[in-house]
Amino acid sequence: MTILTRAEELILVAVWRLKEEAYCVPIRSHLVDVTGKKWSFGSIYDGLDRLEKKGYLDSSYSEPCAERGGRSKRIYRLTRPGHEAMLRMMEMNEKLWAGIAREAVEKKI
Amino acid sequence: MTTDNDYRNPPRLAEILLNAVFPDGPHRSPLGDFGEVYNDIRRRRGRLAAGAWYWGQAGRSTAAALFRRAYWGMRLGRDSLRLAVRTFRRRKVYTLINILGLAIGMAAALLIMLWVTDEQSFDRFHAHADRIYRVYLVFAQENRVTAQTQTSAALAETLMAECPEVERATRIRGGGGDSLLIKVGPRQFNETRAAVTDNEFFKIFSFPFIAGDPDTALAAPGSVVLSQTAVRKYFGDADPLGNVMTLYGDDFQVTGVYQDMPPQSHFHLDVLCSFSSFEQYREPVWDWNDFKTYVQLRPGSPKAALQSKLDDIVRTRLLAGHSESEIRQWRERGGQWYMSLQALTDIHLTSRLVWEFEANGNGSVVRFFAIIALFILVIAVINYVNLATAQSTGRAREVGIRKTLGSTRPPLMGRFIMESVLTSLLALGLALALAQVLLPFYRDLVDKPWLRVPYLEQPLLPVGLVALALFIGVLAGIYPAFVLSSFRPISVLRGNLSRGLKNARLRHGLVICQFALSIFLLVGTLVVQKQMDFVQTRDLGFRREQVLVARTMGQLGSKMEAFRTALLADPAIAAVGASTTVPGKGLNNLGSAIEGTTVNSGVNIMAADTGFLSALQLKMAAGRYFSKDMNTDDRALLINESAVREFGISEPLGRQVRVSGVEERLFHIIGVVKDFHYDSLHLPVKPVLIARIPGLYGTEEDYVSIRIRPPHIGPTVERIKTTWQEMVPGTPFHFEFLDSITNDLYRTEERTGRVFTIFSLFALFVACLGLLGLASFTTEQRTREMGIRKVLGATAPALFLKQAGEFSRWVLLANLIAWPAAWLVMNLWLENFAYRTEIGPSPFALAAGLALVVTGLTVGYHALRGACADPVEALRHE
Repeated sequence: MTILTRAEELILVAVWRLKEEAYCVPIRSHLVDVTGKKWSFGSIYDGLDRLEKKGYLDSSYSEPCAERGGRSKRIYRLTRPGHEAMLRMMEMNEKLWAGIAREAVEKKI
Repeated sequence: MTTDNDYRNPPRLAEILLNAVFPDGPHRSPLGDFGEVYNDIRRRRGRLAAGAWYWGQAGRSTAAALFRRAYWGMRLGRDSLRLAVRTFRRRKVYTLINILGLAIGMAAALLIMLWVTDEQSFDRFHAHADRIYRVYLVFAQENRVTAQTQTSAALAETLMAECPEVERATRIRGGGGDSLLIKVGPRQFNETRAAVTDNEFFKIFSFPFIAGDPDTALAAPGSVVLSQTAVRKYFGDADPLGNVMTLYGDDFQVTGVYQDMPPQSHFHLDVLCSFSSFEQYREPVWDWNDFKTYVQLRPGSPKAALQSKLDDIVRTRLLAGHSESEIRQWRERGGQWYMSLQALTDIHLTSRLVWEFEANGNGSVVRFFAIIALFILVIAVINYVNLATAQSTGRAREVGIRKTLGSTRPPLMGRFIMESVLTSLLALGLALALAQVLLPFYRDLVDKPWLRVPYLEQPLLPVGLVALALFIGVLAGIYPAFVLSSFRPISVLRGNLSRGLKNARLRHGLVICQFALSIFLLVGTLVVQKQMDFVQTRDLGFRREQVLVARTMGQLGSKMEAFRTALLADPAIAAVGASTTVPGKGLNNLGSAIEGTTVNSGVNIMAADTGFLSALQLKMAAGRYFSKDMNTDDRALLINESAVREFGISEPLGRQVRVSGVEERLFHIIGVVKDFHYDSLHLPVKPVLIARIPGLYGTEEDYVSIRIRPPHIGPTVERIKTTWQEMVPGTPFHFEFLDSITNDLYRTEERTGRVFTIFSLFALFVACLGLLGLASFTTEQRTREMGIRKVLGATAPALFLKQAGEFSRWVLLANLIAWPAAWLVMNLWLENFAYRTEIGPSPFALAAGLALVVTGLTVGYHALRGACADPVEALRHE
C-alpha cells in the first residue's frame, strides 16, 4: 500500500471531517487549528492535487458564491480508495502507537 | 456596515498575478479562496491588513512559481545543450559539414539580400517619395515608338497652375552624363553632373542642406547650388557661399551647399543652376522636350486624377494647330502622342526610357536574385536534413537505449531539434563573420561600395536574423527528429535496424534536387559567359582596340585641322578623325526623305570628317568615303547597308536625300558603309546616315578619335595630351578608350555574369558538402556489404565503380531536370540581345562534366576507402 506523507494524511482526514464544506479555505483553517502551524494555500492545493491524482479524492465545483466574488468553490470528497486509505492509515497509526499510553501512565511520564 | 454577502474586490493587479500562478479554468476557484480569506481579514482587521496579506500571498506565489519554472527550464535546457555539445564532439566531421554548409548558405543569402534590398530602396529616402511622380512622354509614328523621360519646360508650370492635385512640380535639364565646362577663376573643369533646375527641386526632393537656404537658393537668376563633393572640387576647403563660378558662359553665385545625393538615388547631380537664369527657357515652347518633369501630388490625390489633365495638355498644347480630323487620321495610321506618370520609387527598377539620368537597375534581375538567395538557403537546409537523417542509423542505438530507459517521443524529438537549432545558431554566427570578411570583395563585385550589413540602422535585423536561424533550426530539425525518434527500441537493440532504407528515396531526392539547382546556376553562368565572349569578340564593323576618344566639348572649333596635322606628325599615331558621336554614345534621330521613293521616316544621323573612316577602320561596301579634295562633299552623304536594305533602293549611289531639320537641304549619296554596331548588341542595327563635318547644321565635332599604333600606348597618350594643351590651353583633356566605351554598354550583363558565377560556385560547393557527408556515411554503412562482396571475389576497382556509379547516376538525373529549366530561362535572358550567341550544347555538357568531376572528387576518396578496405577489418565489426 502507498504510505501517504504526513501533510497528505492530514489533508485527507480534514476532507473527511469537513464533508460538504471540504474546500480549500475551511481545510486550511481546520489544519491551522489542529496543528497550530501556518499552512499556505499552495501547500493545501499541492496536497489536494496529489491526493486527487492518486485517486483518493474527487472534486466538483459548487455554484458560484457571492461571498467569493462570484467564483465557485472546489469541493473535495473522499473516494472509496480514499476511504480505505484513510482507514489503513488509522490502523497503521494505532499499531504504531499501541501500548504507548499505558507505558506513559505506568512510568508516570 | 458590511454584511456577509458584501464582497469586496481584492487588489486587481495582485489578483492577476495569483490567477497566473494558480490557473483553474473558468471556475477560478483558487481566486475565490483567496478572495474569501481577504474579505474575512478585511472584515476583522481592516482594509490595509487585508491588502497587505493579499499582496504578500501574490508576491510569494509568483516568486516561487517563477523560480521553479526558471530552475527546471535551465536544468532541462542545460541538459539537452550538454548532450548536443557531446554529440557534436563525437561527430566532428559531420558537425563541421553541417555548420559550414548552413553558414555558407546563410552568408550567400545574406549578401544577396543586401544587394536586393539596396536595389529596392532606391529613392525611398525622400520624405514624400510615395507622392512624387515623373512625367514621361510617348510618341509613336509608323510603328516606331519612343518613350522618353524628357518633356517641355512649360509642363511643370502649367501643371502647378492648372491642376489642384499637383502640390509642386519641378523640371531638370541635363545631368545625363553630358559634359559642361566650368571655370572658377583661372581654372577650368569638366563637369558631367551638372543640371539646371528650379526652386521647387529641394522642396520636392529631400536632399539636406549644409549651408544656404533651401527655400530660396535656386530662386534668383544666376544662383548655383553645389554638393559637398563639388565644393571640394571647385573651392577646396574655402567657404563657397557667395563665390562665383562660370557656367554656360555666365557668372553664377553659389547660394547653397547640400549633402551629396545618396547612392540610392536614380540621379546624382553635383551642380544645380537656377532655372530663372535662362531667359530662353521661359518661353512656353511645347515642342522642345529637354526637361525631366517631376510632380508631387497632394496627399490623397490619386495619380489617375492627373492623367486626364495630361491628356488635355497634349490635345490643347502639343497638338495645337491641328484639326480634329487631322489628328484622327494620324491616329488611325498608328500615331500616338501622350504623357503619363511613373512613380518615383518605381523608376530605378522598372524604367527603361530614352534619356534616363543613369542606367537603371533591372527589377526582374532583382527578383531573380532574391529567388536564388532563397534557393541557396533551401539547398543548405536540405543538406542538413539529408545529413541528419543519413546519420540516423548511427544514432539508432542511442535512441533505443533512451527509449528503453523510459524516454518518450516528445523529449527525444526536442533533443534532436535542440541539436539542429544549436547548429543553426552556430552557423549564423559563422555566416555573419563570413559575410563581413567577404563584404569588401562583394562590394567590388556588384559595384556598390557603400553596401554593409545595417546592424545599427535596423535594430530589428539581429533579432530577425536570430529568429530566422531559430526557424531554420526548427524547420531543418523536424524531419530528422521525427525519423530518429520513431525507432522502435526492440528492433534497434536486437541489431536488425532498418539501415535507413525507408527514407533512402527521400534522401536521394534531396541530393538530386540540390544538384539540379547547382547545375541550373552553372548553365546560367556559362551561357552569360558565352554571350559576353560573343559580345567582346564579335566583329562590330570597326576596330575598337587602341582608339583613344577625346571629348572636345566644342573647344577645338577651327583648330581641328591643325590638331590633326600636329598629331599625325607623330609616327605612333595612325589616324585622327572627328565626329559628332562615336559608337556607344548614341545618335540623333531626324526625319529624312529619299527623293524619288516613298520612304519618309526618321533615321539615325551623325556627322564625321575625312579621318573618321580610317580612325575607326570602318569598311566601305560601295562608293567612296569623304575626301579632303572634293568641296562638293559638303552635300555628300554616306549610308549604311541597313539603310540600303530598309529603304529598298537598289542603286543608292548618287540618290538625293532630304534631311528635315537641316534647312531642308538636299544631299547626295556617295558611298555605302558596311553595317557597324553604333550601339550595343542589344539593339539591331538601324539605318544610319553619315554627313560630313563641316556641312551638317554647322556641326562641331564632339569627339576626336585617335588610332594609336602599339606598343607604346602610355607615352603616346601623354604626347597627345601635350598637343591638346598647346592647342587649347587651360581646357581639361577628357578622354576614354573606345573599347572601354563599348564594353561599358554591357556593364549590367557583366555584373550579372560575375554574380552568377560566384553564387553558382557557392551553390555547387554547398551541394558538394552535402554529397561529401552522404558519401562518407554510405561508405561507413556499407562496410560490411563491401567486405562480403570482396570475400566473394569482387575486385577493388569494381567496387569503386559500383559506388561512384551510384552517385554519378543521381548527378546525371539532376542534369536532366536542370537542363530544360536552364534552357528556357537563359533563352529568355538572351532575348535582351538583338545579336546573340546560340546556347548550343556546350554549356550543358560543361556543367554536367563539371558536376560529375566534382562529384567524383567528393565521393572518390570515400568510395576508394570503402573499396580498398581489408575485408577482415570490415567483417570483424560484428
